[in-house]
Amino acid sequence: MQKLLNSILRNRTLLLFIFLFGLSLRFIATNQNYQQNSFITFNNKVSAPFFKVRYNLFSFFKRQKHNEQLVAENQFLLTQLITKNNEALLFDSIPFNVIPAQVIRNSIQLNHNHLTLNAGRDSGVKKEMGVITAHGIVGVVNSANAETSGVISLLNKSLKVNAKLTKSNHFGSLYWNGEEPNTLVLSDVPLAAKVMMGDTIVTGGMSAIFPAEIPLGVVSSTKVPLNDNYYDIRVSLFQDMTNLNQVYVVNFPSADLIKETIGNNE
Amino acid sequence: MNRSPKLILWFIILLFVQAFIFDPILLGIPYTPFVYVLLLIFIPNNWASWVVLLAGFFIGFCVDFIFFSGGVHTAASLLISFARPLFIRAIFSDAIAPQNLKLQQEPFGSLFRYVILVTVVHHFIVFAFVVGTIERIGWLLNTWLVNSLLTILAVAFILLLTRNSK
Repeated sequence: MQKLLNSILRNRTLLLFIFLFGLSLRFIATNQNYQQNSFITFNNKVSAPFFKVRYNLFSFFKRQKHNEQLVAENQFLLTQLITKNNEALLFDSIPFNVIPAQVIRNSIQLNHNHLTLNAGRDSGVKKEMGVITAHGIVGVVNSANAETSGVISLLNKSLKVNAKLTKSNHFGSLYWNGEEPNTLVLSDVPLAAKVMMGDTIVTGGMSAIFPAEIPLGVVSSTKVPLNDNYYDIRVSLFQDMTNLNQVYVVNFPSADLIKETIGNNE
Repeated sequence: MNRSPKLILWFIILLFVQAFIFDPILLGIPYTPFVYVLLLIFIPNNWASWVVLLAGFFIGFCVDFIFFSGGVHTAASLLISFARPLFIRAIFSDAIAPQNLKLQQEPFGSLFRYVILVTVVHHFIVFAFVVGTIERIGWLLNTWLVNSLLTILAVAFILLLTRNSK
């Protein structure tokens, strides 16, 4: 017993190192899995006020740029609206409302990126709501505090979004493979579909998170893999994920209804 | 231990700089100098090795908090703290008693080599953990080299500034 105690004491640095290293590996492992990631939720809650201050400080200097961005977005939305109105009433759009928010923290360097917004429960943000901009989608809310909320970025390898090719109406799932911050992969599109470079990708609307027909990006390259019945498609995003400011959280009133109908099939 | 207040001040300043200035999102580029490496470099040599480990772990943990990066900085800082005696021996091999070594009083040349060694190893561990797979080796090498270069330049700049002020 004495010997054992002695050897523990002698090797305490090594043992401490092994313990702490195991702990940090655990941090890394839990970070990959956003569904049960209490660390990120906690991180968000504790550090959000700090990042709010930082955002306010920096937005003062970036005001000019942000204004230009807003003007461009408004312009884009107006154009969309006019086109839609003139297109006659062909498809029934699902009603939804949006909650404006600003991105106060964003990461792009990791495999599993997250954002923080300066709108939370008080403004109506809830878990599992989609976050969009005029140019595409940004992510999904995974934790909502009183005044801030945490979002899983589209640039997070564990997020998959249902998407559709506008020309052929084929569905696929859009996800990030961890490489270029503005290029995503569209998988599960069968070879029967005709896919061309420059085809537009929109949200498929087959989930309770994002409404249908939100523009996402264009096909930048297609490959037909050997021994596979599905295309390997790269999509370049309309929305620059490295430069986010004004975003909108989608409050989808019919979400509960959809969820009830499809149950846990997702 | 009378250097403790100064160290705590360094700790606050460097983490503040890391969060408020050297964040890739604020800079708008995918690279950033991790100036907090300076803290790992200036952990006093007379501290017991287990204290050094705890300090490294804590520093990395704080940075992970800032960057939302799970545990990659914690793991890297911890490994650097653990391998610290090796680094010191490799660079300052002529020092008679490493415990009495005061880095700020060493010639700038060897201090700079020490900074390069620690930064390069530290950044490699960080980005290796970020990547996790062998497929993105190109991205890893690119990010590793550019980030290391930025860190080395920033740290050398800070070192020169603090030297002159004495």
